Amino acid sequence: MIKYVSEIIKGIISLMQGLGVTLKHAFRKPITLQYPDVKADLPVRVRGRLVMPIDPEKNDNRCTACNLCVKACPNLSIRTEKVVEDGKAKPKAAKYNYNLATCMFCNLCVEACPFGAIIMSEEYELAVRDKSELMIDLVAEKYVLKGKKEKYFLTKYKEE
Amino acid sequence: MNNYSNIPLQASNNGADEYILNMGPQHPSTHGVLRLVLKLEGETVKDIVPDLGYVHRGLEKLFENRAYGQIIPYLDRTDYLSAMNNEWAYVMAVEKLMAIEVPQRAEFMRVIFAELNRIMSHLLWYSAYGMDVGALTPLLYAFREREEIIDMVEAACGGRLTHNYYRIGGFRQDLPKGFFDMLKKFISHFNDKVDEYEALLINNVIFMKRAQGVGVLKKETAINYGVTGPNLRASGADIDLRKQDAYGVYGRLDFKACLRDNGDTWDRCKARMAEMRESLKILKQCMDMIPEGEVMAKVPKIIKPAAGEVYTRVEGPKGEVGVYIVSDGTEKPYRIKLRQPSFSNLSVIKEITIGHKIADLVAIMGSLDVIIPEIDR
Ligand code: SF4
Ligand code: SF4
Repeated sequence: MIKYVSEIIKGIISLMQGLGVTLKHAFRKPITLQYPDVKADLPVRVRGRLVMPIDPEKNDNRCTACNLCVKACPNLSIRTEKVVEDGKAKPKAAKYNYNLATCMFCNLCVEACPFGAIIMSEEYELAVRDKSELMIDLVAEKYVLKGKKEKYFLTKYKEE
Repeated sequence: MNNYSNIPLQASNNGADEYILNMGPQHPSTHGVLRLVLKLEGETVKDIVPDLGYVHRGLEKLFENRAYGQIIPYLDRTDYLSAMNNEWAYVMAVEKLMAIEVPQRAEFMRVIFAELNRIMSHLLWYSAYGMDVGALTPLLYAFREREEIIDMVEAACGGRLTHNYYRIGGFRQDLPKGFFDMLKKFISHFNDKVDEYEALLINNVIFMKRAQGVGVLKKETAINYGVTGPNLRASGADIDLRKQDAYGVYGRLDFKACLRDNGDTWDRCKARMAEMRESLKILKQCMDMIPEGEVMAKVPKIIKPAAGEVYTRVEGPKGEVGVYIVSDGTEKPYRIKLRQPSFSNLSVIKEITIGHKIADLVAIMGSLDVIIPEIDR
């Protein structure tokens, strides 16, 4: 009998402890963000989709179609086409086909590029209505970076 | 019963109240796509056979066509709740094969991220387990702290779950500015949060009644089945690779393996809770001890280990993560075998559930903390 009563009391105490925790939370401030109205401030290293930004100094991208990124990519998400323009020593990429569908955002291509021509952007809302839209030509896109990422890109991935 | 031709289970026809029931592959408490074929009598489990392979991707075969450096992102996709522990086991294997010495700062960083991943994994286990046994609140609370860790990791490597941060020879980048401030803030309040978790779920009478004495895993059985990690330590076996192997700089850190004696469901929960506190201690020490300096050793551009074989293992949050590499001296591995803990941890389920009710099966499954992509690979 005594055991029975003491167990009931113990039970009530333990339930009260749990309730206390929830009660405390009723007075804490919410930590949620009202996405998509409010968006989180992402760190500079964040890995969204791959882009080939315009370098404002050259008014063009930095790519030389050396294909090192193609070799570094584990799942063949990148294909390039090379052209050599008249009167220029360095070749250029005529096309840079990036397959967003197979890319796994691993950053290995960015690390492989000796010219710092590509970077993973802040874009993370990547849903499209048609599969064909996932094939992106990064040269034709002429992407312009903004904000934190731009500085990161211009200094060739140095922070501060 | 011929529908289950790949499963060696048969309900007897001679008058007994037996029947076969599928649990999964889309059952919320199997945490992914795992099918459990049960033989039941009334509500009592008589036999149980797990059916695997729903998310098999053939990773080990894929590795044979990848250069050594390209394999790391794939490892994130096995146990995606503690990606860095998998990466560590792999890069350690290649480093051993090539005799690369990792800089001290990188060694400490590896410990920091491995422990952060351990806490992340245990927090997700805690929240999912709460859901399994019918409590929704733990999920919301534990995810709040998990989010904090993910933010830290994201600032360092840019990825939230698939980190791809460890490299052969060290790290891709040094820690970002302000990382230690975030870590300090996290350490300062996380212990109280663990107290909260325990008060909320683990020490709750209703939960204790459900968990104590259920699914008892004996020490011998656990060892025979190759169970590792907190599941094994909850049964009283003092095996923690961080202590035994003392890989990385674990030998210089002060912490203890969290042992329990009974090996029931409740003890497995308690062991994980204690482990989170230990991880916090390790993090604290690392923060004080970490030196300045390089984070990447001098590694040749093209990684081409000499022919040979190597096996390395680390203590992941779920148990022993092992990587076995056979190299034939080319740029691509000849064969890589992953040894991951969930497979062995799941295989013991038959031993500990027979005779229990089907509702207990859910509690036992959850307490084993298996993760399906790791079993199937
Ligand atoms: S992006 Fe960089 S690595 Fe890729 S082809 Fe252009 S220059 Fe070469
Ligand atoms: S992020 Fe990885 S998968 Fe995507 S294109 Fe670059 S190397 Fe390929």
